[in-house]
Amino acid sequence: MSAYAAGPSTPTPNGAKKWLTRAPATYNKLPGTLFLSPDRLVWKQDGVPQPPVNVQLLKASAIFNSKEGALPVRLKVVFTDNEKGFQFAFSSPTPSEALAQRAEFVAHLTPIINRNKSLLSGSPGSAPATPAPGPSTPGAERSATPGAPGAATAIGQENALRRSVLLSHPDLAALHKDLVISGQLSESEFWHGRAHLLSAARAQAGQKRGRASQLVDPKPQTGEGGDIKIVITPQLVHDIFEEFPVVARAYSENVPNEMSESAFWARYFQSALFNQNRASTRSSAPQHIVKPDPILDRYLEPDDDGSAPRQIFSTAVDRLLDLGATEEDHEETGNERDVTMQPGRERGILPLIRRFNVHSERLLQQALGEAPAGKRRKLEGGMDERFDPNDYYDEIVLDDLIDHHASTGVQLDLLNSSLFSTSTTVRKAAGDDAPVRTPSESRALLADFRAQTADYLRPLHALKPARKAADAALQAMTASVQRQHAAHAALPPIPAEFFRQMTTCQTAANEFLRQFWGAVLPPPPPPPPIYAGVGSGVSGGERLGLSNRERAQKAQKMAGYLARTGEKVDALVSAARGEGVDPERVRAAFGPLMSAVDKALKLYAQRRKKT
Amino acid sequence: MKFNIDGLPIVFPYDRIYPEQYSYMCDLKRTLDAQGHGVLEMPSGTGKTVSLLSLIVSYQRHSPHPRKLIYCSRTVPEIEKALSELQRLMKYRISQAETPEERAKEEGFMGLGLTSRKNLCLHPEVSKEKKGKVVDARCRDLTNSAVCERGRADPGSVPLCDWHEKLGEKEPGNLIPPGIYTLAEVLQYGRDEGVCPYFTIRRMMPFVDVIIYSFHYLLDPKVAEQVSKEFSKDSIVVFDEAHNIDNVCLESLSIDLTRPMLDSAARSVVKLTEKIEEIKETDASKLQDEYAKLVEGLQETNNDGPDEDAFITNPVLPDDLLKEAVPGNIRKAEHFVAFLKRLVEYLKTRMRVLHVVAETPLSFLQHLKDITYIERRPLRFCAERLQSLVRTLELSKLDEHSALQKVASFATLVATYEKGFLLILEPFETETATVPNPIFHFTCLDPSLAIKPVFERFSSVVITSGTISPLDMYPKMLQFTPVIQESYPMTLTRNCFLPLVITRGSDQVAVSSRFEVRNDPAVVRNFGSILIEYSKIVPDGIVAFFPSYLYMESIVAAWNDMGILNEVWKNKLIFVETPDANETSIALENYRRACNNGRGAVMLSVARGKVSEGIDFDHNYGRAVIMFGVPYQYTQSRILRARLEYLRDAYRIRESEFLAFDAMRTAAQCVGRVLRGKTDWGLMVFADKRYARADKRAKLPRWMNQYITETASNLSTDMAIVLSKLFMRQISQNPNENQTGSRTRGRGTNASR
Repeated sequence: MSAYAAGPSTPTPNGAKKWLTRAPATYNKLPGTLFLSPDRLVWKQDGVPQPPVNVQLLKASAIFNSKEGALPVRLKVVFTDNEKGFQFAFSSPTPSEALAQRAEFVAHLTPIINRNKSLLSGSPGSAPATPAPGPSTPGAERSATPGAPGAATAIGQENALRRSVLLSHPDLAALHKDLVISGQLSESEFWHGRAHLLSAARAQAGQKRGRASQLVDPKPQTGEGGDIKIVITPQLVHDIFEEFPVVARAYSENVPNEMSESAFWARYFQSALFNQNRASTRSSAPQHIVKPDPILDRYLEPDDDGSAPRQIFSTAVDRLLDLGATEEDHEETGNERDVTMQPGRERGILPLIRRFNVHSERLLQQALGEAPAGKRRKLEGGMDERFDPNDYYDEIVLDDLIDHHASTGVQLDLLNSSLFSTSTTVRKAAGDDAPVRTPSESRALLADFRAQTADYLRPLHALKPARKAADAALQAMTASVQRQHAAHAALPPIPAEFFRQMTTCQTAANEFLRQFWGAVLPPPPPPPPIYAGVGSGVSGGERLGLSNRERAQKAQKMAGYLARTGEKVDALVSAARGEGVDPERVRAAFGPLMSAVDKALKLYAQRRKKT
Repeated sequence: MKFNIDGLPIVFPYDRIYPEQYSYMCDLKRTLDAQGHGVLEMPSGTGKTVSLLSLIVSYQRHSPHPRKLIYCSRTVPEIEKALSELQRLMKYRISQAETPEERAKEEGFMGLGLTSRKNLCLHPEVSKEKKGKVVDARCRDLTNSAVCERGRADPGSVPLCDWHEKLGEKEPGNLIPPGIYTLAEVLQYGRDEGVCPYFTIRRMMPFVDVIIYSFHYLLDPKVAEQVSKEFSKDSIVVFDEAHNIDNVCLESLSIDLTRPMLDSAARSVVKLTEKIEEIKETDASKLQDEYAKLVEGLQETNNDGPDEDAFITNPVLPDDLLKEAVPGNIRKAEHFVAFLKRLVEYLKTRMRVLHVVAETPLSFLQHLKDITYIERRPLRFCAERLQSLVRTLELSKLDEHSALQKVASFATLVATYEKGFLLILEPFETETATVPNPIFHFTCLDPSLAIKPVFERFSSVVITSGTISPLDMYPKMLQFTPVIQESYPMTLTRNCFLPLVITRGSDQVAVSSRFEVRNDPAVVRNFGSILIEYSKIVPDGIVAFFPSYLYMESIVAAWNDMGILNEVWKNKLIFVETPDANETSIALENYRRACNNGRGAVMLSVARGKVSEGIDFDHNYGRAVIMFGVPYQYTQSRILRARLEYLRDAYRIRESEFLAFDAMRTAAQCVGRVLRGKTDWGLMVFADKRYARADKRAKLPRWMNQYITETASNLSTDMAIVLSKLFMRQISQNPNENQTGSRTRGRGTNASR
């Protein structure tokens, strides 16, 4: 077993290497110590210099725990190429200590395993990393750690997302079938560069249906005999309690001691309390219906219709929204505003307006959770207000005036670079120690250049095209377009099946081109953080981009596919005769594609020659 | 980026610049070069503040004798944002400095903002006070020079403010390290160092390169004399967001007196009398000294105190008058108090009248003289004399005497100005009220009076805003001659906003907030269905503005009863502006959270209200703004009618012209808040049939009006919805999308859902 795991560069556990955690543990009933580093798991037997277990974690596929409370405290780690894995028992004297140590190992191992799984899921053909049942006694071990099933569903989610994207894009699905199912492209290659589709689908799938936001306002229905009826459902009761805590309080204090539940509701709907809670300014219930109620009237609150709210807000508001600060910025001056501009003159409406605000806030709170962290500046110790000046920047910075794409530029790929060897960069690259230009030299050079080119536009101003010639040219062009159009209309139609074959060939080649250029051109700038957050985790590999070697490999593969495009087109051309289509027409149809392919291949050949 | 304008090297803290920013800066430079005044209108959201600061700082840096910049804005959030812009600019300038000396010079640049004690106080008890006036008074009790002297001589005998004392230990002029501080940062600095932020700023004001504060600190004579008198004449004064500057001018010289205030003033007079008796027995020399000083003239009594002692001044008195002796009959403290008593009693008698009275200051003075024998000259000195008395008596808890101070200011103002003011006594609040609640309005009708000292004193005054059309109105109202007067069109690569005029509902009934029809159920319903339809199709935030609080409150009630709001609830959360500022701030914050979250929300607020000033609804915070009705002022208001009459007689501005101008600038201001930057987008809906008239629209800013097409100027609700949908579909296409499908996304491409 030790031979299996020990690598050539065995680190000694006592060395300077940084261990994430360590704990005394037995393995194969031998006492020792278990070590965990970010990439290795090492078990060292007491008194033996060479650790018998020393494995890379890259292939770790799952971990298993013994039951909480079962002794000894065990941990099992399995690997894709070693399903039996290793089983350790934590040998700390007290079980609680051993449990804590195991928990620490699990905490460190779980993300590693999740990462491994997501990497695996990308490559086709690899078996899904289902944890195999271990050899130990059933019951002593649980199926997996809490983190592991999460990762498994994450892979499932990713697949489900891809499936849903394919379902909603039939063209893409066809392409996927042609290229991936047939094995020409790997799943992850196919999705490379289409991450935005996935993230959009993910965002859509992540949307949860919130609560209906209408105000809780049960409307009485008038029955046949003129009696008024309100139907109470459990949902309504729940809503009322949530919206009006005072009713919940009245209920809990009085039911069932003072009155029965049905009596409570009957009295509530006739009480002034209900009337106060109605979402209406005008008291639509006639006064005689509102009966004085000795119990419920105790819960009546005075109307919240003063210009200052009864509820005092203790939270500090965002400084950029602080209207109070402006009011207190200087002494009040001037005449009173006219009657129409005095807020809160309509006393009756204020409680309703306040209810709107409170109701909206409550709905928001339910959706977002209590603490709106980050957005609201928190109070720390009384009135102290922590503050980060950069908070203002997203309110003032004009984003479109910032050049986000300022890059180092793409080096010109000169064909005969030796001709231009005077330029500094080439000289430098050649290892020449020639001094770099001083700023003043550069400036002089710029001035020279400017002087030389100052009036290059002048001749253009003088250019006056003759009218007749221009008209003639336009007519000739129009006529030519007309001719082509007529000729095209006269052609016999292409059979549907053959046309489909042509389209397939075209889209496949297009996809190869896309992949090829994606691998050859410099990678696009990383997406802004707002989206990076959405797509964190599973598809990280696609997002982070490929390494240079991977890119080179991919380019090579795609170039191989592209090289065969010519054959395919030729095959279609020769098949055209059988279908009754003019082969030249087919060739012409593929003309642009072939030139694109040629261009790609030519560039690829050049690059290869260079390296 | 760095570039030159006529040889002036500019450092602009962005990689690119909009063309209108460049031409704005060119014109601003010409204004400064000419040492003249300017009126500049630049479209909202195109980076006006940063262009302005960038040019002026470059200008200051380049000139051998740097001119101080006095930058005035309207609201505290705007002040804070301007400070933050300045901070960002200076950071950029430091990073772009080419030599170490240049870098050190940039790092030595100072900029501060000023606001009230209430917003800056750190004292654990004083800062808890709700009212700014009380904070001011308690702060003075702890920091004025007499108290400090006593407290320092005998520690513990009187309470002092530790934060203020600590500041005294520092070297003057070096109270805070150089740099730019937002208000929040000054507060934090004060907390860390244990010094008073308010007085740190006040005492550093002579040393800073840029000071940013609100209009009132320069326009309100009572405040200006305290905080702004030391600025040199060549300072550059900028009024940003100045579309309402005429109203601020009027406010700063207008005063309202009510009966409770007069009662309180009468009580203050009694207290003063008692205090004088007390002092006479204990320390009669004090009063003697004061008397002697007053013979010399007011100048001497006023100029010896530090900032802490100033509490009310009245600079409407010209300097020569201040050097004169105070009239003999109010020189003695007891005589002055008796004088005040008579004045207050007279005013109380006037309040008993049960019909409306409107009179000029001259006629008021005549009547006053006939009844009480109070002459005009002592009346003019009333405010100054009161200040001197309060200082002599070492009164504390000044907030209790604020009513008397108001009466004194009133007396001074009424005796100083003959023209441009009117006194209106309104015994009833409304036409229908039966219980009298009299208000004595002393109202300023001429905005040029308050701003005149500013134009006279400072050589360059720039008035700028996103919506300040028609430009010629402002020089006319404020009585000055600009050297540059310019409005910049908005250059757009794609139309990032769509103004629409809805004149009628889908049922073809015209919509209007005109008084006669505004409560018509058909109109209310049609307004409601506009809100419903937009809440269905617009993502994230919608802001709706109403012409007045009264109308908003009644229409919200009506919509609720008609079930219209239930429909809106289905699509968006609803937030409404309330009378309380803090409550509304919290509603705004929740509104923003709902927009960020994707839940979407509607904010109902009022044009000219709290929310319409200084709060931005850019990006997802406002994808559509709906202006319900035309925000005309309440024309039944006597004050407004008097003002209109005055404008007509004095400046030949027709009443209807002014009313339409005022309504349209308010509407433009409301809808203009949806844009920031050109990648932002938003719908601007004007819902009133009166917007269909070309003469009304002509009063909108040019950059806005040029995008109102003929078809979009007379729409029914359903047509507007179709156009809006089309617009949103187009604008949601990402212009930067490239062929490989990777995108460069901004905040706000979530519109496509």
